[in-house]
Amino acid sequence: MEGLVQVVALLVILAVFMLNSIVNALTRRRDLVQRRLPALERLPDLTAVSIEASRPLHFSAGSAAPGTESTLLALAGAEITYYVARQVTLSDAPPLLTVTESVALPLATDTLRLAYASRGRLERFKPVNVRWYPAGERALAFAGGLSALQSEEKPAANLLTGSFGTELALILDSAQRQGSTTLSVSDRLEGQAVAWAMADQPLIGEEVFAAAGYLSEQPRLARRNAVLDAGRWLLVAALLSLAAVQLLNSLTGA
Amino acid sequence: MRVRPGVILASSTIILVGLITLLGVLFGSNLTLAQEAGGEIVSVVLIFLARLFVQIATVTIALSVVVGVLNLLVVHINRFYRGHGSFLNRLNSLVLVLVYVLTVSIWIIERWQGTPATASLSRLLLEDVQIAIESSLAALLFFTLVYGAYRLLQRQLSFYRVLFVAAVLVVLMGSLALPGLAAMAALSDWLLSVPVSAGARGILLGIALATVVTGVRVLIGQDRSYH
Repeated sequence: MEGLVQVVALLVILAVFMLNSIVNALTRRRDLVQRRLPALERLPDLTAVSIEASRPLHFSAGSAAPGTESTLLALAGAEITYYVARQVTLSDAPPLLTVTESVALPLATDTLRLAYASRGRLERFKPVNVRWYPAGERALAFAGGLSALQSEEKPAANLLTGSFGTELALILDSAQRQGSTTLSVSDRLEGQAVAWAMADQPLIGEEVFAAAGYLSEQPRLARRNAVLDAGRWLLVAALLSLAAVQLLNSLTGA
Repeated sequence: MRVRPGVILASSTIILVGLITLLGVLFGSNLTLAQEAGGEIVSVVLIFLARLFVQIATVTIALSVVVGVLNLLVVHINRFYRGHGSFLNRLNSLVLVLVYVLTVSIWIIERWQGTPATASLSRLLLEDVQIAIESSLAALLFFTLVYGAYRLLQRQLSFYRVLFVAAVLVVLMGSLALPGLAAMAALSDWLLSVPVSAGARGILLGIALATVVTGVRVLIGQDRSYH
């Protein structure tokens, strides 16, 4: 059984590698048109509000962190943070980054530092704008900390892209009471449900991985989105085929 | 195109360490399969290196708590001294630092004196203060969720929002042990086992696909993040 899991894992990785190569080859000389993600269309307004009102943008990856199962989610969140934060490096209110896993602190600090460096404003970078809120059981201590941050720092918008549970409801509620716009997504189902129901701009599931492609306008990231879209359609086709085969089998058996 | 040596070094390290760890983890528990794939010495070295990298990562993660505590203290001491925010914010920061110092001092004294766990003040602070506060937040979470459902319809009425709230109501009513709600319970069971389960699997499959695609692109050096 264990050998089978290893073989399947290897096959999946090889299949994704091949798909990636094919999509790259097909789209190398083309301008890719990406599908609409309404949640990201409001981001320029949010950065403008942050600069004009001197209210910070708040980014949080929740419990997503490198070295854990959510390593790549943490990297995707860091990409979003980088591309949005570099637009507000001019602002009097510097962007705030919060994490709940201490191992995510170096990634968050480096992301913010690179955002300032990319605009040649490294002297404005302050490491104290990256904050660790320790997580207790059920991460409610983290939610309590972020709820307090809403009234203390009054962020213009909260971009909560990472790993959150139902405690996300407390953060979103506090943010909305302060008139702060919220964009949210979680890799955990309960957090995703809360994000969809309560956030002003929800992203769903893997859209967090696609966001950097929209924000950066870099062809390689747009190609990643093309690979994702192609993979999703193949997955849908595979699932429908399997369901059809099972239906046929049951009808024949009956 | 300007090529920076630092970027090449970082990318090569990521690709090398990532591939070795991936192969070592995939074949690590099945030495025979690994030997068939790459010969005895190669596979043993591969597995040794993979385990070494994982152990280094584990130790780094464990030590990062120290970085976290330092960050917490620096942020709050800075806020207190530099006078960022209102008086209340500065007071919060001062209280946090004082409580931290007090708790660590109590813990060290108790360790020094060999205080039994049952009479430990630091344990009392954790279990009777921290957990009690978190439990009260958990209770508050219920009302926040209900208020969230109410606000969902208040903000902008759409078919999906109405469907969401209706599904929540059906599942809540279905879980009530009241006579006359058997049909609601059956509908709730069907909702949970068919559409909810299918939707949840769809979201998880999407996230898994995106994770594998991003992982593969990082491993082959196509995604160097934003560096």
